[in-house]
Amino acid sequence: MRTLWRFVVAVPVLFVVVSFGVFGLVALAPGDPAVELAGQGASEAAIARVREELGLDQPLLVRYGDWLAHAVRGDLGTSIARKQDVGELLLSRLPATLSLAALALLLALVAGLVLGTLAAVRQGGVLDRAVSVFAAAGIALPQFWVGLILVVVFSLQLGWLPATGYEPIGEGVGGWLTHLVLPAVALAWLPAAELARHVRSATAEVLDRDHVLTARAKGLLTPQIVGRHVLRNAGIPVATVLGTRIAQLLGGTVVVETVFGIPGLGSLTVDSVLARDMPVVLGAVALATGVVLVINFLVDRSYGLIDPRTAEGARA
Amino acid sequence: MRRRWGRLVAAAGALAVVVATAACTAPAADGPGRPPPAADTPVDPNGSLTVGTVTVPTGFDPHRERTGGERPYTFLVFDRLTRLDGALRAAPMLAEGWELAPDGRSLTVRLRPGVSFHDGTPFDAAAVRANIQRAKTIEGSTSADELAAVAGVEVLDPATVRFDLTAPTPELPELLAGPAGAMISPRALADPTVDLLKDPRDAGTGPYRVAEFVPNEHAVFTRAADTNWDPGAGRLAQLEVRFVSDDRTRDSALRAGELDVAYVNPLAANAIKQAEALGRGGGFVYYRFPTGVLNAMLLRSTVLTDPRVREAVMRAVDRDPIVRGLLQGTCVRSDQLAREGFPGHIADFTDPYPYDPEESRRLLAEAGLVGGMDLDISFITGRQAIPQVLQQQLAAVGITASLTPLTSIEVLSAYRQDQLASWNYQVAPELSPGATTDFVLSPAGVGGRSERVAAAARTARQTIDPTAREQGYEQTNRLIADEAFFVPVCHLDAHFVATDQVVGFDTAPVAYAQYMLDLRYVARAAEEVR
Repeated sequence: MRTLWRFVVAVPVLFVVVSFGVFGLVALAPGDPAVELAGQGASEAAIARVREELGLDQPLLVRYGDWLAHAVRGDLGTSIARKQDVGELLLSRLPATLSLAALALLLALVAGLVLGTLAAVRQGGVLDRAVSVFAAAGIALPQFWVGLILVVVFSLQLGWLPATGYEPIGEGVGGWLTHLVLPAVALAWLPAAELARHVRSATAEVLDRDHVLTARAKGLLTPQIVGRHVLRNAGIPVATVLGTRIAQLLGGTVVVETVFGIPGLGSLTVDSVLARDMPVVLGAVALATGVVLVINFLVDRSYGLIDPRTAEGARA
Repeated sequence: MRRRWGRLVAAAGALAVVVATAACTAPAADGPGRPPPAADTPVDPNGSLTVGTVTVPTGFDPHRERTGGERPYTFLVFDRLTRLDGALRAAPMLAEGWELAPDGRSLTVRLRPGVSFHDGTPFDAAAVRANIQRAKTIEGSTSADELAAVAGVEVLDPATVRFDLTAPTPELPELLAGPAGAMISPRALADPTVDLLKDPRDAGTGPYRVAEFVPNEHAVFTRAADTNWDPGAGRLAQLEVRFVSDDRTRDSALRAGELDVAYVNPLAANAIKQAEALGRGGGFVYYRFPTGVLNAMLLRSTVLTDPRVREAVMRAVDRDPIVRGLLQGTCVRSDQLAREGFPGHIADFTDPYPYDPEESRRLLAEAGLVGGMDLDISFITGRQAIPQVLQQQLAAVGITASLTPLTSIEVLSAYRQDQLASWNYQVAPELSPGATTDFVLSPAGVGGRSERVAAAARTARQTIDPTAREQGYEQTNRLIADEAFFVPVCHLDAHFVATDQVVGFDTAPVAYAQYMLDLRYVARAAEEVR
């Protein structure tokens, strides 16, 4: 209950803080969107007219207040570059990004948990070293480079998967999945590597604890020990790391969507920042802030599920 | 010891994967480039093509275009009164012919008969008058400047109009080849439910209609077969033009068969070499076309007010290492604004400020800058290669150049407000030499300030005799060079790669922009010839 209350209070406060910070940063950055919108070689009068139409001639605080007053009523405004309703625009891009992020998260989770656990169980062995190499490579190699290599190998050389684009799930699960596999692998690469390291470290620590040694003495097999006694104890640090990595994952879509030509929120945000399209930037940031807050809330709640001793009731 | 060997083997394995992957992407062997399919190749009337380009589809209203990058989209839907040929001269389109009055104060235009808009409205003199009036007066018009000299349009008969001009304007036919001459159905203009920016519906006379449009992403066109007046145009059942900003993504999509045509960045020499190699392999054709676009280092005369300083900068720049070394000959070295074969080119031109570091130092000293000077060179983020070479060359004469990457919006805003002294930029020719000179002198363009250039341009643009007018523009361009408004580097070519199934692509590039395409005559080869 306390967590839920904290969440309810935090959402509006963080929303205002983050949105005002972004508003200020974009507004203070050099460059006038009216210059581009007015067209090439437009006169000063034409630019001034566009500036007035968009309200860009108003003081920063007035513009922000106006935006906030509409945003709390669910009206995120109209894109100044695309002339589209921002809410509709974000919703049209959301499925691609959510699909990509969800698949990448699943891949990262499976790869990180499996590899990290195996490495911990076989400490010092070949598998442990191989996982260490994978983790180091995963952290060192930039996502765009991984994406390019995947395209070269699996699209251009082998011809197994599409190189670019996105197909909505409504047009067929097969097409949706084949278009997402390579970008999801590129996006999952870094969090999987980091997760594998954390899982290995947390699992190795638990494996040395007394209750695990007792379980071994009772004759339990390693898979049983890991399943019943280790993973649950190692779960909390892993869940914490996972929470932060999901936010990173959303950030990573910016690069991956560009490399794979996916029309998602990431590429939309980049285009909008470059075009100083404030309503879209703010809408995207508001959405991302909301997603991260929800994830953090869920991570907080998951502690109690993983280890009931940490549940709110238990602590009280 | 074993552990060390294990690490070495792992490292070698990783390296082998990288090298093998790189080898897989290496260009094909040397050899002659594959020729494009012959113009008479049988085409598939049900064929479709997907084109990957860097021009952003933002809207379809030709009279309110935001950038020239909209034209590859709008020109498929809206025909103009004229079009430009390869030498940037006006040629007939919806206008069959025209005649300038002896005093240059009116232009009589004969219209093509039997043309109708996609909505069935006949194209006639009244439609021309309505469109010109709209282009001149609509709020936010980007065509008004081009039509500034047009006082009015008189309907002489249904197939003839007369443009009454406030001053001799012999270049009006060239200006009507652009958005200002685009014809929109009067019925659509009168219908408040038609939003030309988002959905032009049946408002054009062009070879295609818009079937799907996602702003800033892509547009899909379908053939307007029943109302197309030009039997050679609209040869595809469907044409998709897709905005793909990343060079590598376009390349990958082309090779993977997701694009049929891909734009190649003219400032990325390696990408061009790879495109050439792709054309030597199987299945692809590499195209290279000359354009009048000049890569130059702009020197804003309202900031660098001392002409000796601008001259010193010009004399410090050696173009050869940039063109032959950095750009590997993928553009054409130039020391003047207009390219050979384009209006305003000076055949017997002598560079007034050739590379001369000694003279550059002397000029700086004469200007009171004995210890050298600081200069900020701005460029659009990602295009740092040429500015880096310029930085090194300027350092040799004592000019300390700092490089500032900016977004296009930042650089446009700052340069026109005199906040930047220098910008590495592509100066594209406008529809007419007079309009190009306007751009050079405009604060919103190059920002050159010179009364003698303005006077020479004024005289040239009002000269009726074509030969004398051409000589006038040559003289204007000599003065522009003399004023040192920019350091010319090279004229860019347009580079594209298409699959060998694309027919007629050599008709598509338009010489006034490296990214500009008019895809009206492009087709896909019929199944039997594949």
